Parts: sequence; structure tokens; C-alpha cells
Amino acid sequence: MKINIQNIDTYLMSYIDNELSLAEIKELELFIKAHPVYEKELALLKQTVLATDEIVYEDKQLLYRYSEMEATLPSAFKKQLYRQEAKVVEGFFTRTNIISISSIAALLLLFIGYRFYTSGNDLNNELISQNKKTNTENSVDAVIANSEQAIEDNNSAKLKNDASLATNKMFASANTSPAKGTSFKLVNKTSSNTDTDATNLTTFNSNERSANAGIISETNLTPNSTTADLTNKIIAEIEPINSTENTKQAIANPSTPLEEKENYDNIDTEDHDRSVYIANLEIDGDKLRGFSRRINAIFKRNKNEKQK
Amino acid sequence: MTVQDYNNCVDQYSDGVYRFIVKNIGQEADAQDIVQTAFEKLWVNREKVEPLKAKSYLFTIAYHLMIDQIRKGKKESITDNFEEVKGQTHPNNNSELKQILLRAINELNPTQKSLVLLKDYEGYSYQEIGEIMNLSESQVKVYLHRARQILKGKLIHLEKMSA
Repeated sequence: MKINIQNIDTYLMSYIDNELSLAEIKELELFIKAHPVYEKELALLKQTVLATDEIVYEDKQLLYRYSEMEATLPSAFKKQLYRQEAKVVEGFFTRTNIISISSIAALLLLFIGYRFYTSGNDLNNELISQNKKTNTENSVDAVIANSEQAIEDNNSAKLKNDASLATNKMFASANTSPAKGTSFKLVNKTSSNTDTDATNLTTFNSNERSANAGIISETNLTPNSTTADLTNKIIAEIEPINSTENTKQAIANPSTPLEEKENYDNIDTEDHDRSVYIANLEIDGDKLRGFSRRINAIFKRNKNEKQK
Repeated sequence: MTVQDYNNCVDQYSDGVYRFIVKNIGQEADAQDIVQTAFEKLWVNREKVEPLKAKSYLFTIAYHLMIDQIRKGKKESITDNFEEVKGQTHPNNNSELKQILLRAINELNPTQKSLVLLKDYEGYSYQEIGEIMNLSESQVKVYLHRARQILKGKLIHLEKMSA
């Protein structure tokens, strides 16, 4: 870039600011020599440059740093010097804590109550079903037990009948010979009756009756009585046995439904509420009773001790 | 930067920084505070600052501290400043021309004043001044030339007045 009248001011400024290269300085000097007018201009601009003042900073000692200043403490020692702010311990029963605890307690109570209610219902249902089951079992067992008992009794009655018949035989043979045939028939009849009873699972009463029949026949038989009388008597005794036919049929046909025995729980109508009311206060009477007992026990003890 | 490097910076640049600030704001106490703060920052950041860039770093810090000071309105009147500074200058600079020039410089705006001081006192290049004052090189050149024209005009005016 060549120096001319348009850019001479810029070159002069850059010259006094020491921003020109050597070549530019030489070019400027040649231009000024050729145009002496700008020599005065350059002199004026040089006057605007401030001369360096010998202003010194007197407090340099304050700025110096020394190697001792870089000395650092070991971190372990520093940790000993650390201090912590005392922690402010807040009471447990703050407003927020109380609200949260009470809400949790309410939820727990609701849950426990619900569980208790549902478990109570289940228990009731279970008890009812168990009761029904045991009732049915009991009735069947009772019938079976009765039938077994009847069989046993039948057997014993049969034995008794056999024994009575044997006695009758003896009496019959001792009295008359034609009566012997009749007595034989009687034996057959009674034995057939007892057989029927055994097969039809007679009830206890019927067995008793049959047994009684045997006994009666045994007691009523006299050496002088005829076999026809004996037969009539035994038939008369055995007839009522047929009246228990319904019972026999019921046992013989297990398909016939048995009547269920309904159980009814006794309702306790006694008032157990021992609460004592004093104004709006409700006091548990049971606890109060316990309390009064204790007091009574203490006085009693004192009395006993005094007596001693 | 070692301790020795830092102390060398104190020896070499503390006067220049102080001069630059005190000529700008005219308050010795404020200038000293600014110098202290600038060197304190250099010490704190000594691990990051290279020794060759320490001078530029110090002037940059000092310049910004000074701007903050000026903005706070703590700057006192120009005339009083120069009378205070005058006492510290050497007697051989006590010429009438210099007094006229100093008055003219104080009439410049802070940016132009800082540009003239950094250029004339510290001899920074346009680029270095731009780095310190956050200006581009061309901006520094233009602003400095305007400042010179103003000073030249004032000098011509004062010469005419005295003549």
C-alpha cells in the first residue's frame, strides 16, 4: 500500500504508535521529505504521546509471596480441625409425624377389622358345615349301631329261644308222645321267625320282643299245656314284631333319605354389659369388678393379718 | 507459575499496573486496592497462568476492576486527580506542555483514556490492548486515532490561546 495524501494521517498515527514496519517507516520518511507540510503535522502528533512517568508502586512488599506461603497441612490434620454444626434434634411428635402415624394406625385398624370380620364369617360357615356333617354321620352311626345291637340281641334271643324250645322239647317228650310232633313244628316256627328277624335287621325293640317271646314261652310252658297253646302264645307275642315293618324297610333300603336333625344354638339372653356410665364417661364394669375384688382382697388380707 | 515467577511479575509489572490505574482514576488508594486485587487473583490462578502471559493477565484484571470502580461512581473529579498524581511524578516531567496534555487526556472518555495510557505508558500493541480491553485490533486502532486527533486539536487550541 502506497502512502498518499488520503492515507497519510493513518500512517502518521501508526508511526507514533510504533505500529509501522521498517519498510513503511522508510516509505513514510521519504513521503514527508517530499511533502514537508506533514512534518509539522507529525511533530504535533508526537506531542500527544505521553512521556513515561516514573510512578512506582511503593507497597511491593505486600505483594511478594514466599515459599512458606505454599506450605500446606496434611489432609489428616486438616480433618481434625474441621468442625460440624450441632444438629438440631427435632422432637418425634411433630405435627407431620403425628398425622402420618395416626393415618397408618387408622389404616391398620381398618385392615385388622376387615380381616377379623372375614375370618369370623368363614369360621361360622365352617362350623355350620361341620355340624351338618356330624349330624348326618351321627344319625347313620346310630342306625348302624342300633342295627348291630339288634343283630346281637337277635342272636341272644335266638339262643334263648333255642334253649326254651329245648326245654319245651324235654317237657313235651316227658308228657306225651303225639305232642312231640307239635313241639317239633313249634321249634320250626320259632326258628323261622328268628331267622326272618335276623335277615331283616330287626330293631332293638323287636328283638327284645322276640327275646321276651322266648322267655314268655319258656315261663308259660308247663308240662301240661298243649303245643297248640304254645304256638298261639308265641305267635301272639311275635305279631307285634311285624308292626315294626316300616323301620325294617327303612334300614333295608338305604336309598331312602334320612331325616336331618336340625340343631339350634342356644341364644344367651343374659345381659353381659357391665358398663358403668358416669355422665359421658363409660367405665368397663368387668375391669371395675376386678378392681373392687382386688381392693376387697387387700382389705381381707389386712383383716386376716390383724386377726393373726 | 512458581513463587519466583510470581515475585518477578511483582517486580516487573506492579509499577505499570499501578501507573495505568492511577492515571485512569486518579485515586491512589483505589489504584492500590486494584493492584492488590489483581496480584491476588494472579496468585490464586498461578497454576493456570503462564509467566509470559502474566503481564497481559494483570492488566486485564486491573482494567476490569477499574471499570467496575468507575461504574460505581467512586471516581473523583479530574482536576483533583491530576493534582494528586502530580505530586508523585518526577520533576523533569513538570513541563507546561505535559500539564496541558494531561488535562486534555482527562477530558477523553474512559476507553480512549485507557487506550492512550496502555499505548504510551506500557507500549502495548494494538492486539494486546484489544485483548486487555476486549476490543478488536481495528477498533483499538480507530479509537486510539480518534483520541490522538482530539488531543492534537486540544493542543493546537491551547497553543493558540497561550499565543
